[in-house]
Amino acid sequence: MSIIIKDLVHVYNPDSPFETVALSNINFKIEKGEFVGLIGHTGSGKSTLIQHLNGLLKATSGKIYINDLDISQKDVKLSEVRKKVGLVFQYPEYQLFEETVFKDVAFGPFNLGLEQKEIESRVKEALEIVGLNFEEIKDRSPFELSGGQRRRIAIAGVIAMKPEVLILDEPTAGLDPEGRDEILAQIKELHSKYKMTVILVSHSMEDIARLVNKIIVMDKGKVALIGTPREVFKKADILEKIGLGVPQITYLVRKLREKGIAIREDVLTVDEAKEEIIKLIRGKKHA
Amino acid sequence: MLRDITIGQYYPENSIIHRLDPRFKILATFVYIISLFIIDKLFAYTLVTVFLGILIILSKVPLAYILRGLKPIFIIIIITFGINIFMTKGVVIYNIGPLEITKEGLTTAVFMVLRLIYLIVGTSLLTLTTSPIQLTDGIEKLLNPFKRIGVPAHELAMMMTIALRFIPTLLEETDKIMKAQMARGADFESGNIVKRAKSLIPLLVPLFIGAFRRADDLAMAMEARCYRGGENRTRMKELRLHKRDYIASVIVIAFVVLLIFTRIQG
Amino acid sequence: MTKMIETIDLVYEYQKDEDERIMALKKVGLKVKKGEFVAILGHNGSGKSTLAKLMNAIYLPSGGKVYIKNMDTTNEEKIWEIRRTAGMVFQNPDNQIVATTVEEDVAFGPENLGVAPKEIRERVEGAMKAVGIDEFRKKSPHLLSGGQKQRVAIAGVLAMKPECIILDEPTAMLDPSGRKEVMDTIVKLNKEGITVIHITHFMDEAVKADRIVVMDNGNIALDGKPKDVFSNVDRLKQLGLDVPQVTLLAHELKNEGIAISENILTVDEMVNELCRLL
Repeated sequence: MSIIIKDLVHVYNPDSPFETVALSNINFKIEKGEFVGLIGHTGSGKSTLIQHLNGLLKATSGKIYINDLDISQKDVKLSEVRKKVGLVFQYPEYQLFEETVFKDVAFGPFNLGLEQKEIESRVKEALEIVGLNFEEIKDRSPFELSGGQRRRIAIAGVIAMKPEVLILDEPTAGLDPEGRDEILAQIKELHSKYKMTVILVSHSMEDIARLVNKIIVMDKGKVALIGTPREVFKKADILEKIGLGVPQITYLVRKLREKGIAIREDVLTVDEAKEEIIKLIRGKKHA
Repeated sequence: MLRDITIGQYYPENSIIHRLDPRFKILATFVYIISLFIIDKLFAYTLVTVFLGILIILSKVPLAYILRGLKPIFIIIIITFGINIFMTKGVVIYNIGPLEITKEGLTTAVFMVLRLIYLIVGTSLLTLTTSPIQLTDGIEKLLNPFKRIGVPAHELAMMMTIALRFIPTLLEETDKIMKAQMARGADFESGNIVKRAKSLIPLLVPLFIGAFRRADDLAMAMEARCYRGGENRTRMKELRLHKRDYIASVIVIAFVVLLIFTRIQG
Repeated sequence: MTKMIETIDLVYEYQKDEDERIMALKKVGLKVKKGEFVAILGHNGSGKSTLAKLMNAIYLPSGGKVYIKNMDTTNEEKIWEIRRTAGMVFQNPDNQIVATTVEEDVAFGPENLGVAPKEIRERVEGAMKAVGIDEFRKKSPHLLSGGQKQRVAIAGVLAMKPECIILDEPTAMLDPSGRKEVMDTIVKLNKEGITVIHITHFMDEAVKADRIVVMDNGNIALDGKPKDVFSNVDRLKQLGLDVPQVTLLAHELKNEGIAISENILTVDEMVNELCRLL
């Protein structure tokens, strides 16, 4: 499952005084099985972009290919697109509406027209992926559960549609560190174990650095940078100019290099930094 | 469609009409609406047209913007026109198949439609030139004398303020939930009426729950800011009648007297 | 030293459902000095939000006492004075703005207190300037960004001339630039003498406080200067909390037998420490 975006443009309220260009000339390719981080500040066009990928918004011009299928064409069945590309919105727990957890998670699969048995097995699997006990939780009302649990149920509702691409818009917003780590671990598992292509929108450079293998940086409706985390975070000055940061470790490495310490430039995580620093300190002792 | 509704929308501008006291403007609008039902002659209609025209020019609100407010009621205007033109008995001047157009019918139809248009334009002018806060303040003040007979003036005004404050927020939320459910394969657009009504459940349930959650939060936030009803409450902007309001009152009274006069004369 | 807030053996219990009572706070004793900047950390359900609401007399204690400037929150006559003295800002920026324009909303508090119109005008001007929102005064709140809305909420509290502001996760729903706007505002107000209680999940925000109180399971688990609290890396992780990346790095290096200080909170401190070692 690959995604190709070609010359994508989106204009809100065209030909009116409120006309705004939300996306201009977006081009990129995402290969099957990639874990992509999408970053950019509010208003950079991230949300508009991801809504194009499952057909919620129509391109003003340009093409979007999902597995060689051009979804910007008029006669494309959107239900087919939404089966392939799952989208989890921000604060997804606010979309829950059914009286039981089971029914809510089953909403997506049911809309796909699946058989009861298939729906049941998918709901079960999805709830287990997000770390909830199916038997314990299936008959409870989503509204009596905690915020973190509701969030996971909402994510399960999209996973149960078995999309090949899963897009998550800030899935950890408002959660405490523990809840955040749990959800990120589950998303990582979806990528590694279930081979899903994942696009993660996040404001946390630390999380992005730790998880993804490709970063797309959006700024003012354009793609500003694209590449592996090492390549992207090396360009700290560009990121800062856009108003985005880099992980704290990257700042540390930069400052150490400025002081003349020969630490590798592309260190991203605490573990890598630890190894590099130990190497340097031990190397100095032996010298 | 929602964008076309100009009633209830404020058009910020610094005109004499904008600066008039909201209490006066609310009362004057009432008087104006009633006077629309007094008039019955071409001369009176001309007077109203001129009067309204002057008001619009003074308000500095673009005419096109005001007329946009008529779009949602276009169908009603057509139906009113149709009923009156064909259903009035009198001197036949034209035939369309079995339908007869009478001279009287034509006059009534034109007058009725004008009345309707003037009604909408006049009331839009009130909301276009009066900010929501001024409007609610004005209503509260006007209702104050009726407190003694149990009219909750302050509460009504507060409810209106909160409604105006949260309508845009709830519209945004509706859009968000709709998209989230569409991403889960929900279909809001096809099927018969029953199916469509049913398809609204995934939208309406979260919307209602969200609205209650907001209400709960807001109540707590208001209490934390020492809100305890209308008693002993002061306002930052106090309404005060100016010279211009008195002059405007005299003009409105003169105008209505003139209209009544045209009616009696007939 | 003047006390701003004091809780004595504070207990808060509530009925969750028919057969389940939850003890959200268990004998919490906390003293906050006038002018202090206290950050309260703790995972969801640790009792920190409950504690904030008890300080504003939104909740009343099931046991023990809460005093705001020596006023008992259970004293009904003092309730408005308590809420005026210790103003509160909530998590959701949308759900605490009442009026349809910024300046009218900032005026809401003083209007409720019955302040004279002329003085309200002055207070509103001052409060809007203090948080830098005076250019949006006529704007409708729904057109503002999250960070701007939270600053409107803070201005709304400031206009009541409080001595203390309690912020219950004011940055949880904001993006990084909104969070920075709000944090800069809080730090500035604290420098001007306002006591701040800031509840958050973000460690980089807690680092800016004079003092950090960590809540766990209805009790105070840790209480001290940021350096001292964050040096307990293992304990914090066990409580489900983050530590800044450089603090974690220092901790890991120490575990590897490197003689590095564990009192490191910022990138600059880490750079200095490493320069010394290398």
